[in-house]
Amino acid sequence: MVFSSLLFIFRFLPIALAVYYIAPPRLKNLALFLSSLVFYSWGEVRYFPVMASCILGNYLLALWLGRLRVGSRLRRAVLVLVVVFNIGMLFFFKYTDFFLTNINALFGTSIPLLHLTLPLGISFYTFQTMSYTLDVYKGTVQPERNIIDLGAYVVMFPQLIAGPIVLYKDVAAQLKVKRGRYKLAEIDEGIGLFILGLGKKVLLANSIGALWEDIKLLGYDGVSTPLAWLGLVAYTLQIYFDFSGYSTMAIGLGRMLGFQFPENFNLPYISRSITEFWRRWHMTLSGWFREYVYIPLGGNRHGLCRQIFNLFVVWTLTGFWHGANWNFLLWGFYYFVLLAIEKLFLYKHLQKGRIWPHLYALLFIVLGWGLFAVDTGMGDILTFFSRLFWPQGGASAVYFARNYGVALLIGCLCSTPLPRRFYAWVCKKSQLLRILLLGAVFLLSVAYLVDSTYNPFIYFRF
Amino acid sequence: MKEKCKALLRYPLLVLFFAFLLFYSIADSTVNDRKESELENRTLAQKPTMTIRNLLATEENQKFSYLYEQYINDQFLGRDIWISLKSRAESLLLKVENNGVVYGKDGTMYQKFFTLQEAATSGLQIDANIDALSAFADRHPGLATVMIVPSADTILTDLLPAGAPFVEEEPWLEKISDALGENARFLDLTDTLRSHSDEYLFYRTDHHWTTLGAYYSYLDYAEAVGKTPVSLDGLTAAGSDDFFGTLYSKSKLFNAQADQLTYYPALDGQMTIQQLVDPASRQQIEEAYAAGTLSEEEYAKLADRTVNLYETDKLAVRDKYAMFLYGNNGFSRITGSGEGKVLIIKDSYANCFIPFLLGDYAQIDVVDLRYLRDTTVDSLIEREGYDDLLILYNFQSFSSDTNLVLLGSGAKN
Repeated sequence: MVFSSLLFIFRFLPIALAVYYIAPPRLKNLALFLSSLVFYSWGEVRYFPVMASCILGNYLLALWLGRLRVGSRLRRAVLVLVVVFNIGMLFFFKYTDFFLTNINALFGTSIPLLHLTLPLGISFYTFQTMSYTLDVYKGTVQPERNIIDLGAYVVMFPQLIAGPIVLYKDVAAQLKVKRGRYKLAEIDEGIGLFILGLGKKVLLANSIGALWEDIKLLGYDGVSTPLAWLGLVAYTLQIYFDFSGYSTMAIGLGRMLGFQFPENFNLPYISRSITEFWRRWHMTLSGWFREYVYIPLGGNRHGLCRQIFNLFVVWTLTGFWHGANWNFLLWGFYYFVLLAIEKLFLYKHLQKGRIWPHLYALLFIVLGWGLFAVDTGMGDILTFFSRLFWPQGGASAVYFARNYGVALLIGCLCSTPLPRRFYAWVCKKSQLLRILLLGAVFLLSVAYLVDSTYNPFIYFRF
Repeated sequence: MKEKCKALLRYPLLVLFFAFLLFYSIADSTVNDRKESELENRTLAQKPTMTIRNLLATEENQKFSYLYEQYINDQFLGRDIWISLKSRAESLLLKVENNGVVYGKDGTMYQKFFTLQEAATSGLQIDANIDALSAFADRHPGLATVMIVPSADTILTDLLPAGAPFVEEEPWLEKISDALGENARFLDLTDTLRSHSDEYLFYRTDHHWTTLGAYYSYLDYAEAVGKTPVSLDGLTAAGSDDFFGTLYSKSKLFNAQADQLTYYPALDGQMTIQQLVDPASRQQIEEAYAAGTLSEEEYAKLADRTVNLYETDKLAVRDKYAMFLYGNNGFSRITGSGEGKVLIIKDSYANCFIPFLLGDYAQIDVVDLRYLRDTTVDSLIEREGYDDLLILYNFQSFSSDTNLVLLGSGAKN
């Protein structure tokens, strides 16, 4: 189930909220846990045991870690077990077929593929559970004794599918609050965020994103150079509104339940360097890699060479996390190269410029999405990039510019700080204006959901 | 309690949002479900029953969750109103397409036909179909006339949105003509239709051609096979001026203009829709019916029936084009007042074309390859000894049809 569906908004949400609000304070976590399990199991009942074992496994491992003496050898062995358990689960479902395909190609074998569908949100919740047990190992978090509370954290439906990647320490205190967990003001604010996120996803991402679908349909070798660029710009906007809209909905829903999730996107396309872009894009993921990979590897404390190597590890993993495919690895490597160059000398120059750093950053971000979007093999990536840089004829951009022009303009506008300022102004100006604005966005979003032939969710498969 | 209410009132958004959600969810789940949508011209998903099987299904479209979600979407309260709201918002965004339908000038709509369909195995379906056609013509040299009707977007080029990358059909038509060579007669209708392009040749809201478009093409055909064409002068037209076709049902454009559908009641005759089942199957059907395992309704479907060419009841429903020739049937035989026999292998474009042939042939056999069972075109030709054979398809369905290969191989469906 995704948030941007009638089923979620008009069936699941009212019931889940009613149960949660009506439940007596002591049972709120249980209510949240159970409704989230329904949410998780909805699309794939058969994967219920995966979630159950993930919760139970980490629960027990953390308790065990808590009993062991700091610095003992066994403790370190359990740590290895934690990583193997979580990564192993993710690896099995997400990467087995990728490795089998490559082994088959390399050695001419024909090991049959598993063809597993990915359990909902596995890339996100394995990272969350891992952060919890790793924090217990580091001693920054106490092991949770109540499995319901831990379970409620792991499957909590707002952040289950696509983040933000909420760390246990972010919400642990709030999970223990029994009375007065949420205030009316927070719920009100959460509703506003949910509607704005829904609008980003349904009104912006979907109506702009259909352009990239057209390009795939026409074939990368059938589009003219201007159309290739137009399509890539559309994809750039689509993935941003798709993902950040989803995060905004999640944060809004979290607030409605009384939780404060971390921000995940902060206007990434106004960045003036790639370094800054990754501080503004999917912030909880980069934060996770920094905290649990980059810093443990030594970060920047062991000289430049070691730092570059650490960056390489982090970005290979980041790329691979996004999907079991060569193009995602390439995409990760691409960002490693850019970030390394900035670290070595470019960053300080970028700090001084005014306009050109924006253009530089945007160009490379957009090109990066080209590597990300073309996931059908290196041949197609080459074809598409040759279309971008070697002026060629093909399906003209005129029709698509006309059909998507207004939507693209609105998309560009919404990537700037203007809408945020406008919303803040509206909220301050009058309650009525805010209600009218949000009401219009909500009703329009519902209308688009009713008549939708195109409602994908890009990060769903991650 | 009073305090609480007062506190709530300070957050009108919260109150309104929850009230709307609650009210609408309850209303949506209690209002009776509809069987079909008149607006969209399709049956709507009904409430699925949960079974172990659909809970554990692996195919996405067999899962209970999928079926249930379809049901919620299709039966959403006020669906038609929401759809119209979206359509209005789209026009504010200056969009010129929706759900695979492109909007042109003067209220015209076009199938978004930007790419050719890939064949199931490899290559393009149209290449496979051209091969099939040419193999068929090879086996029956000199018999067939082939008419592949160019789409509205190829004829009404002035009305299209600028730069829309529709498939270019003319090179393909040439390719078909070349592939047939001397073995069959290929009629390229492009010039004929273009010379009348300011007339009403294609429905605005439907993917078919109008009776007039069919008539101009008929004139070409009659000339090619040496018949004196029927004249429209003095014929009274009937029909409906409230026709919203398939393109409308898909796009659901809020300000679409109705089409006029015309037919000529004088050009009518007897048509027998035959079920060409082989004797063994017929025997089985009879036995099943006698034993009561086949319902009256099912049995009636398997029996031959004789009707008129126009099913005027259909003028009262949304899909009015279905009035011609009772839609698409595997095999029908029409008795005409002319001479000779003709076999027509066709898609639905032929349905409004065929009545013009009534005065030209004594026997008009009509085959729709999609529904032809238990026999082949080759054996029909052998048995009946036709004087003419017409293959009539619209370019788009010709390029995507997967049954034409049967024509090439001579195999059964």
